Amino acid sequence: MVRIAVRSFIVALFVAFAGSQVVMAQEWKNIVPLVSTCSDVKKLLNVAECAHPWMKYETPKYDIYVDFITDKNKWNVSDDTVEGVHVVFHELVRLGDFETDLKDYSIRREDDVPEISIYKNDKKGISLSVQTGIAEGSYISSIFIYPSQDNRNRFKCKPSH
Amino acid sequence: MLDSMAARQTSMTTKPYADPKVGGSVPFESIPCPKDSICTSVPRSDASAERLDDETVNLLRKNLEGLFDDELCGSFINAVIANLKDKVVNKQQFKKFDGTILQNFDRIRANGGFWKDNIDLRGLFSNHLTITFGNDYFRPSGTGVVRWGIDEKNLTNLYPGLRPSGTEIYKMSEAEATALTLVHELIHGYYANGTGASHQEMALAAREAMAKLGIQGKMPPIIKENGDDNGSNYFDSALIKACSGW
Repeated sequence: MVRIAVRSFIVALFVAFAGSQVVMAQEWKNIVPLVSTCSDVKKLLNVAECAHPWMKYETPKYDIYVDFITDKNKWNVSDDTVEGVHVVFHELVRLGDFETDLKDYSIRREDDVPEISIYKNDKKGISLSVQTGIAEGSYISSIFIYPSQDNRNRFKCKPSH
Repeated sequence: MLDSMAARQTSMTTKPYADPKVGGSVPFESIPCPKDSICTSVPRSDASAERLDDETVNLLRKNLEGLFDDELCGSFINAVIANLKDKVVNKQQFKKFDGTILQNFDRIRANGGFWKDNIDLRGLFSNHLTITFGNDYFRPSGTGVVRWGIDEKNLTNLYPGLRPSGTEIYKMSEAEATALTLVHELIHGYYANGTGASHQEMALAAREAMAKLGIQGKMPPIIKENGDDNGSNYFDSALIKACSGW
């Protein structure tokens, strides 16, 4: 009986730990440019404060750079709103593991580094730097999340007449 | 502030820059568009590529070395390199090259070498000197290359925010431009086997280096509003600010 209880406890502990790892691994995906603010970033990244105009959050597998609004005349949002998020991976992510459907992505090869291609989905507001010269396949080395098309239309400042 | 910047800019002209020459002719393989990609940039024809002669490569190295006469420029370059981290691909470690930019230059010289390529000017630096990973220079016995085409002295493609006024265009000598271009391309080449630093990585490393060294001023965006990558321009702008006092 005791053995079953201990085993259940260990399983519960493992599930809780694994769950927290998943949350930690996804935190940057929940930062939405033009919608998320400093307080959201603090909660998601578990940091005490934000640095403006950009801040860096380091993890063993990747670094996150959060850019806040710098041009107040560009977007109709508050000053402490996120404008974009860069993620630079130290442990590169297989392209197919991140995105299985590439039909909405445009692909442009870097001019001076032919083995890097930029995959961009303008509707979603995501740009991937993809290393295509690795024998094992295509791997993402960095990601930029910028305002989605919907949010760009929604928050763009209208020109005054 | 403006006076000190002008003084720094003047001091740049006294550096031991010299314009290189080219020579030799060894064509190398062209690099096809990556599999499953829609390439919007046309792969270059490498038929006209020529290997630079020793005298020219010595001159390039001297110009690169000259950048370190400027303490801020040298510190900036070193800080950018320090900001790049080792990479892991499929549980395999790809360590960043553990050496200075001059050592990286020597490494390229001893392997793929430096090349001239008569290609159209498309970008700020990209056609002055380009590094390619497609020929696997960064594998131990590889034949990768740094390519170089010279046909423009004024950096007319500079992002407008870098210009002191809306109309003035910063001019630098061809030798200075190629030294800065070398820095750009050599930093791409701090990793092996097709894991070279992307423009976005380089731009972010440069932004951190600027913050650390207190380099300020208007900068272009790392990514344009439409999501197009602008990391290359950002990096070059930071490099010019650090190394030209602008």
